[in-house]
This record gives sequence, C-alpha cells and structure tokens, in this order.
Amino acid sequence: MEHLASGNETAAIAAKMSRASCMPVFPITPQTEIIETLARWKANGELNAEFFTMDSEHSVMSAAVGCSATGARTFTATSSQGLTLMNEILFIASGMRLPIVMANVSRGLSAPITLWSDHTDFLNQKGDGWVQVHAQDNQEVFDSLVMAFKISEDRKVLLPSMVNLDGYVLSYTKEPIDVPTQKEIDKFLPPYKPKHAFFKPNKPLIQGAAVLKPEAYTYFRGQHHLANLNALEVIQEVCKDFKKKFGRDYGNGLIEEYKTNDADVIIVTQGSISTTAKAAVNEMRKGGRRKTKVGLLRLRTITPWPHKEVAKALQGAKHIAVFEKNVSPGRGGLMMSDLKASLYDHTKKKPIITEFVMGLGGSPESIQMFKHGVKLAKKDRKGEVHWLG
Amino acid sequence: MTKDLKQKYDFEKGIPIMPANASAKYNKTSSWRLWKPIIDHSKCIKCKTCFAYCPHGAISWINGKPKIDYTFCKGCLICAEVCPVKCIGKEKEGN
Amino acid sequence: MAKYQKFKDIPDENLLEGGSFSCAGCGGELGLKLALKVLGEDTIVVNASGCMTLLSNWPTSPLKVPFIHSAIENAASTATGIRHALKALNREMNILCYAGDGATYDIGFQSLSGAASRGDDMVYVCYNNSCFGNTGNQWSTATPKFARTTTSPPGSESHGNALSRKDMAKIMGAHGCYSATASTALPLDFMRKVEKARKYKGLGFVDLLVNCPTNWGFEPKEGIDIVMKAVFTGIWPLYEVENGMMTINYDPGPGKFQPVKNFLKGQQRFRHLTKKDIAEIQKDVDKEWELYRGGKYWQTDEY
Repeated sequence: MEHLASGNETAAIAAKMSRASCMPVFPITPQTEIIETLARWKANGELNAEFFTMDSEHSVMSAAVGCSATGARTFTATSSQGLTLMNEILFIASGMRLPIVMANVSRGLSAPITLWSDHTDFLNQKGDGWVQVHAQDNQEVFDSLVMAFKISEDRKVLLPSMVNLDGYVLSYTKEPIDVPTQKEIDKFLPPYKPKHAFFKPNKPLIQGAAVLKPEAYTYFRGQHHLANLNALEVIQEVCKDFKKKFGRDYGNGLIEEYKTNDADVIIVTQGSISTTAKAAVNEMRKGGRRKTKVGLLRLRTITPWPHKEVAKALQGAKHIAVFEKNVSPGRGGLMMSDLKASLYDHTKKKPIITEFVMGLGGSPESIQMFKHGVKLAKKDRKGEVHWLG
Repeated sequence: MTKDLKQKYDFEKGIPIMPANASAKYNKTSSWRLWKPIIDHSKCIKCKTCFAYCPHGAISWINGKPKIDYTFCKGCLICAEVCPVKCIGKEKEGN
Repeated sequence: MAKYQKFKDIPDENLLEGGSFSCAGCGGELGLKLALKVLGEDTIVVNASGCMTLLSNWPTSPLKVPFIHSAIENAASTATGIRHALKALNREMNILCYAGDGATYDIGFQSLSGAASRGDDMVYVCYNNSCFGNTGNQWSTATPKFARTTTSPPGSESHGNALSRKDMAKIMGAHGCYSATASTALPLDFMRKVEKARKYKGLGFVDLLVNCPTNWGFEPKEGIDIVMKAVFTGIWPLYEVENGMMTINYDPGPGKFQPVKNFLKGQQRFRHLTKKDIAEIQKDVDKEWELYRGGKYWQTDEY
C-alpha cells in the first residue's frame, strides 16, 4: 500500500510492523518524530508494545540491553549526541550479542553544536561491533529496518543493527513509500525466539559476567568478529529473500553500483546524497563531446565492511572521487582508510583517489558540486583532499 | 583475514553467557584460610545465627544443624564471633 | 506479623553458594545472600560493575538465579528494560538491583532517580561500603567525614575526606518510593526491609551498610561488630521512608547512644583522627539525632 511518509514516520511504521515489543526511547532532534509517532499510536491503542521514555540515551540503550537480554524484540531510535552518549552501552549490546535494532537519524556532532545532518556521528561508531546500514531514501529506511531485525536475529549473526538515515533530508521529507501488509511482513519476519536470553524454561543464565581469562576473552571477541563477517553473507541472503517477496533490492545489500562497469571515474557516496550523485552521473554521461564515463558506488553496509565487493566495484576505474559527508579532524574522511585498505588488499592496479569533505553540518549538495568534483578528480595525479561547501 | 583467526563460528556457544547453577564449585577457596572454624555440636543450640551471618555460603543448614563446607570456607571467622554460645572454635590451618 | 522475626525463619536454601572471589568476610556478599533468601529463586539479579560483578568469573558463578551485569552506572535502567520485557513476555519475576555505593550515590544516580520516578517495579539494594571498593578504596559521596581513602588521604594539609556523606535514603524517600537504611549487623531487619521493598509497587530502595575489611582496615571477623557499632553509636541511623513519612527504627533515647569513638577506633581508615576530629564527628551525629527527635529530617530551615 502506498503511503506518504517522512523518514521518521517510515521508521516508526517499520518498527510497529516488525512487531518490536519493547521500545525504550528518549527525544533528540531530528529523531523525535519517530518516538512521537509511536507514542501517539500507543496512546490510541494501535501499538502493541512496551513503550517507555527513559532519562537519557545512555539509559535508553541500557534498558534496550535489559529488554533484549530478557528475550524481547527491541527497537529504539536516536541521533548524534544521543548516539555518542550511548557509546559505552553500544559496545556492551554487541558484546552480549543482543539483536537490538536502532534507527539513527544522522546529525553533525557538537561542538559547535548543529542540528543538521552529516555522517560523523555514526561513522565514529565503526568499532562498536554493530551491523550498520545506511539508507538513501525513505523506502530504503522501511525496508532496511524490517530486514535489520531478520539479519540481527539470525543465529549466524546475533548482533545489534543500526539503520542510518540522514537528518532533515530524509527524516522530515515526505516521500511516497510502499508498505507491505502486516501478513506479508509477519511471513518474512517470524517471531524472535532467542536461545541466549533469560527465559528458557528452568535454565537461569548469567549474562555479562566478567571474562578475566585472556584466552577466553580473545575467543569471545573472535566469535564477535566472525559473527560480523557472517553478517556480510546474511545481509545478501536476506536482501535476496526480500527482493523475492517484495520486489525491491539495494544492490547486493552491501554496496550498490550504478553504471560502474565501463566507468573511468567512479563517485563514491553514501546516504541520501547518492540520489543527487546519480542524477549528476546521468548528466555527465549525456554531455556530448565532453561527456565523461562516470559511475557511482554507494556504500550501503558500513559495518561489517565489504572489502572484496568494494575493491571489485572500484578496480576498473582510473579515478575515484570519494564524497565524504563527515570528517575526523587530523585524519580526514572516516571512510577513506577502509576504502584504501580494500584496494590495497584486493586490486593490482591502484586508481587515484580524490577525497572531498563536503556536506558538513547540513551543507547542501548539488549536481554541480559532483560535476566539479569529477573534473578535479580527473586532473588529480597524487590523491588530493578538497573541502567543498 | 578469517584464515588467521583459527576459530570456527560457534553460534550461541560463542556468546559470553553461562548457566546459573552454582558452578563455582570448581573454584575452591579453602586455600585462602588461615584459621579453620570448628563447630562443637554438643554445645550448639541450633539458633541459625552462624548460618545467617556466613558471607560466603560456606555454612549450610542440614537436618536442623549447621555444617561448614570447608571447600569454600575462607576462614573469616565471622561465625565464631557471632555465635551466642561461643561453640565455634578455631584451629590454625596447616597444623 | 512481619516475616523474619528470628534467625530460624531464614530459609535453608542458599541461592548464592560458596566459591566466589570476594574477600574473606565480605559484607557485600552477605547482603546479596540475605536479599536472595527473601526474594527466592524467581529473581533476576541486575548488577552494577563492582565487587559483586566478580562473583561471576566466566565460566564459574556461585549464583543459582539469573544475573545480568552491563555497566557501572545503569543497573536501574537495565532493570527497567527487564521489567518492561517481562511484561511484554507475560512473565512475573522479582528484580533485584544490587549495586555498590559508588554506582548508586554517584555515577548511577541519574538512572536510579529515573527508575524511582517512573515507578519501575524493582528492589534496589545499595551495598554500601562507603567508597569505590573494587578499585581499591577511592572517595565516593557515601564516604563518611574524615575517612581516609586513596583519593582523600590524610596529610599535613588534610584530615582525610573533608565532606559529610550524602543521605541517599532520604533522597530516595523524597522520590515518593519506599526507602530504608539497613546494616549487615542486623540481617533480620534487612530482610524485613527487602520484603517490604518487594511488596512495594515501584522501586523499593534499601541502603545497606556493609562491613568491608579490605578497605576499612580491620580483621574480617570483626566486621559484624563494626557495622553493629555503626548502628549503636548513631552514626548509621536505621530508618524507613514510606509515603514521604520517615520512621526511625532504632533510637535508644537521648544520651544513650555509644560514643562514635567506639565505631571509629577499630578501623584503619580512621586511625589518623585527632580528638578534635572525633569531637566534630560526634557533634554532627548529635545534631542529626536532635533533628530526628524534633520530628525533622533535613538540616534545612524551610523543611
């Protein structure tokens, strides 16, 4: 059924239809509309879930750990400062292997404080062991959240998932989305029946105990790592299954390639700017005598990082223009190191990579910006860094 | 990368949880003891005071009588201190 | 009549067995054992990082009930999550939050205050050894005046901790929930209070003073005597707050308390105290009891 919904409403619809039974929440711009929507449904008796407001995001994630450890399907949502406040418990949630699903509405980090979107908040969480997916439009927000429960709860994975959507650009923009029926969703996503939660009859469990033996600690971290690597396969399987049932797909679930086959220059993006980048690709491919064979690689799965797939997508290009809507001061864009590692490990010919730090604190992107970037990238001989916007 | 990690994925086994079934029995704390409390059952009035105060679950109440489990007793001697009839004596360990 | 009038009323089954890594004569472990005797096996223990976390060291644990530990500052929030998940899964169980004084008075205060205000149903026992004990005796807001900790050491410019301790049970009482103080010296009193906290619909808080031989500096066997003296000198008042009304549980009457010196003298953390310091502590305690006996609970004029 077609709906006209903002990114935030979409996330709320997805959480409800996925039958998440526990939702600890805390308000933060630009995420608040998600929890307001859920609260309204709860007040009208339309939401069959425990919905409760906590005293901070730190407490939200702590409660989510409690809910999931007990055995309930758990959803929450946050943004920027909230995500950073959760930081400690994010590691605990993934280390205890609890399949919590969270929508993160991306927003730049303080200081100076900003409300607008950039990707620094969640990319700083690359090391927390969550499965992270980044959506480009509202339809993908819905689909990714539903898929996230299935991926997270898979026995081969058992990890929490974060679905990222860009603040304002998606969170407050209404787009038409196609929502399957509840029956279809239920068929795709069966109830959560964990084996490692509290309530297996007559089998009390100790969770979160100290592991002081270094070799045991290494074993559990190794298992966590393997679970993350398993997620690479499970994401692809679930995406395939989703396509079969609902007819939509997002590349292979890990990356999405657009006209990369014959491309000389490949633009790398993630999130909602990818849609603008696609339009730029189309324009540049048209341009008559001066046309450039440009392609686009959209990074969809951030963690686990699909090294091979990324390298394969990029290996044919002469130039790569990476547009990063984030920055780590003193390091540059946060995706660069991963991208370069992929190419170093898996390709013989090394393309030249030009980095563009752009879109910080909500600076708008444009087709012109991508065209300009591609022009600079083609002239680049040593791997330059440019700040745009 | 996976090759270097000489592990296979163990599903739920690879999650740091354990059953709560008092499995600490592997962890014998008797070696911590300097003094060994000894109950003189002939004087014991079975008031359950030592059982109430033992911090380490080393005194159990079996058939209406206290019994010290010397595998776990850490020798804090709280039981001897709180006994209202002073029927718990002590003996130096290793003698 | 209330349960647990005699030691003989204490159930035989131990839900916390031997073999933990706690120090010999640990009052914290004693408190957990007693609380579990009240709450029974249908209880989830939620722990904040601290000494009791190390009871369970993978792959061994002395506990026979479900247990979860996540971080130091979030025991109450984790318990809130568990309570809601139990509702969602249609289960009824006791939840026991067992956290140290640092995790309750200081770093975990926000999550505890939140849970108390929301009325989330749980028993919250703070095992209070008046310092950050597991890290080796650092100052917390539960540390009594002039006590030596490694971060408030006495020296030529210092008499130890310069501040008075925070009155946590009163603050929790002000949330409108059940709140009480207790001591491991009086297990039955503590157990009755845990039973009340269990029956209370909402968060029931018990601040349990526990004997800590390692950080207070005394022989393990003297522990019960020392916490007993804390009660008998009036330095650790036993009271309950129910519906905003405070009841003093033990008051021998004016002038009948032992001098605080009796409590202070057996412990290394007070060894540096001068006569003047002891007199000051005595004055504080006397003043506090004067307030209580006058029907006042706070040292403010407005109250």
